[in-house]
Amino acid sequence: METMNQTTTPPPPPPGGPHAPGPGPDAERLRSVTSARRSTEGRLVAGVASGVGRQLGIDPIIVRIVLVALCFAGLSGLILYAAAWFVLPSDDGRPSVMTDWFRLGDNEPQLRVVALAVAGALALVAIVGDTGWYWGGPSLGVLWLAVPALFLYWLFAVLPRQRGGGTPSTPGPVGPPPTSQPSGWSSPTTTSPAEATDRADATDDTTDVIDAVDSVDDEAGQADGAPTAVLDAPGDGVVPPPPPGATASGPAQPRPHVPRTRPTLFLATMSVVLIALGGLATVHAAAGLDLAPQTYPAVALGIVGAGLLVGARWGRSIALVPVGIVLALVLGAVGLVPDGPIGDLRRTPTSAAAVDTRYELGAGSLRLDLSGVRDPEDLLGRTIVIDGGLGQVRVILPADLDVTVEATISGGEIRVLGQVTSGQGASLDVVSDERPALTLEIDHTFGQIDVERA
Amino acid sequence: MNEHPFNPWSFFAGAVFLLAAIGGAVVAIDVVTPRDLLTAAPVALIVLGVGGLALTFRRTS
Repeated sequence: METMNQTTTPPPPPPGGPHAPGPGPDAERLRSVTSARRSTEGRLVAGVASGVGRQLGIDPIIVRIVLVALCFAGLSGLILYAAAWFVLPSDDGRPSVMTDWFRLGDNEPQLRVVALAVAGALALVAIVGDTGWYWGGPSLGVLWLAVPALFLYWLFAVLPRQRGGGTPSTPGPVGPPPTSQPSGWSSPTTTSPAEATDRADATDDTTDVIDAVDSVDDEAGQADGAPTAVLDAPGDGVVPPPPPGATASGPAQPRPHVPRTRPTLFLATMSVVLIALGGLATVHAAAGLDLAPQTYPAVALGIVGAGLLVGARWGRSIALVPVGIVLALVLGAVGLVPDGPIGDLRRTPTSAAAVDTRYELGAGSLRLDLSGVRDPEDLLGRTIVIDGGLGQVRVILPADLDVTVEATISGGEIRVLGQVTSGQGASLDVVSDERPALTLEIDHTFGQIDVERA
Repeated sequence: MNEHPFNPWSFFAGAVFLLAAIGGAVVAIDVVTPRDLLTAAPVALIVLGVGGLALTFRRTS
């Protein structure tokens, strides 16, 4: 006799986690990024970018651009990618590499979150601590080749494949359905595809269509949380009636085809960024223009900001936000790169004529010893400028030379002829009563300034 | 690109990024010093905040 026992057990969550991927990023998907799956469809390397993009509801190319950009900030993109490859399972049901290697059990989700958090911290440290990869540095050639090549590859190879139906841009639930699932269990979607299509038709903007499908997902999420009567007598050969609230029986219903908007604003903005950076680099190289390294990220960030301003009224601009954040971080990091020589610099002129009017220090220490100048009286009336970066600037004056010192430091300590001050944005002026006098103008960033007599 | 209702978040993010870019650029070309920027940045944030408040009240009233 056929038995059908009704229980109040909630149905199992849909494969891929409680947050079914769909179009359009939102905070809930961002929080659930640790439950992403590496994608087996549309992947370029290990499927990390595709999986994360699907989980966040954004185009995988955005994830790839961010990862590539982060590679120029202390290789942090590589760290994040490797960690994601290691700990994220595949959407075809295979466990993660970490699970496979260490034979993890029920603790795998917690360990996955911890591992991703550690990788994120390492990436942050790499961004802050590494200054070797910057836009104007030796990696310039790699940057100008890699970013356009990646963009063109996506534009002409990946995008046509996606639009040709090979890889839907918003695939359905991730992973195979659980085998313990009753035959009568259906996707806990309370709106049929036809209804969703009707809702989509009710709007004249495809963005709103996507929003409508998002709301369908939300309704599905509510169904997850509500106790729902399900049948626990599978395999008896009888197809049970659908659970309350569901409108379709049998296997999971395919998601309705949702026309997706072309990310015109994002593509246009990034194209302008590439053109501007390429033109800037060309001018830089051809005309021998002396551009500061932070010019590049500043220009790119300005264009992204302008794109977002346009996006306040036209187009979808949300994808530009992570790009802008990365560029802002790069701009800040490059701004901290000291401009000047690096190392332990010692200058010991023996005559006033050998004393330069300007000394620079990038990072390290600069020791300017004027005590050996044979004709110190010739220094009177002159001005010496010292532009320091990170480290120590030390000036040793002749014993009885009249001197005026104007010292400023962004952060650190200043010691001038027995007077001391310290802190952020500290400055200390010691003015000589005698005229003429040697004037020392010292502008240091971080570290220490020492001015003393021999 | 479809026209849509004004998105204040996009506008705010764009304004912040644009200001940061302008700040970075003027420091890069030695128009102002980083110390001057530290003085101007809070003013810019205050202006943005006041604009946001005005926008909020305008949209809710």
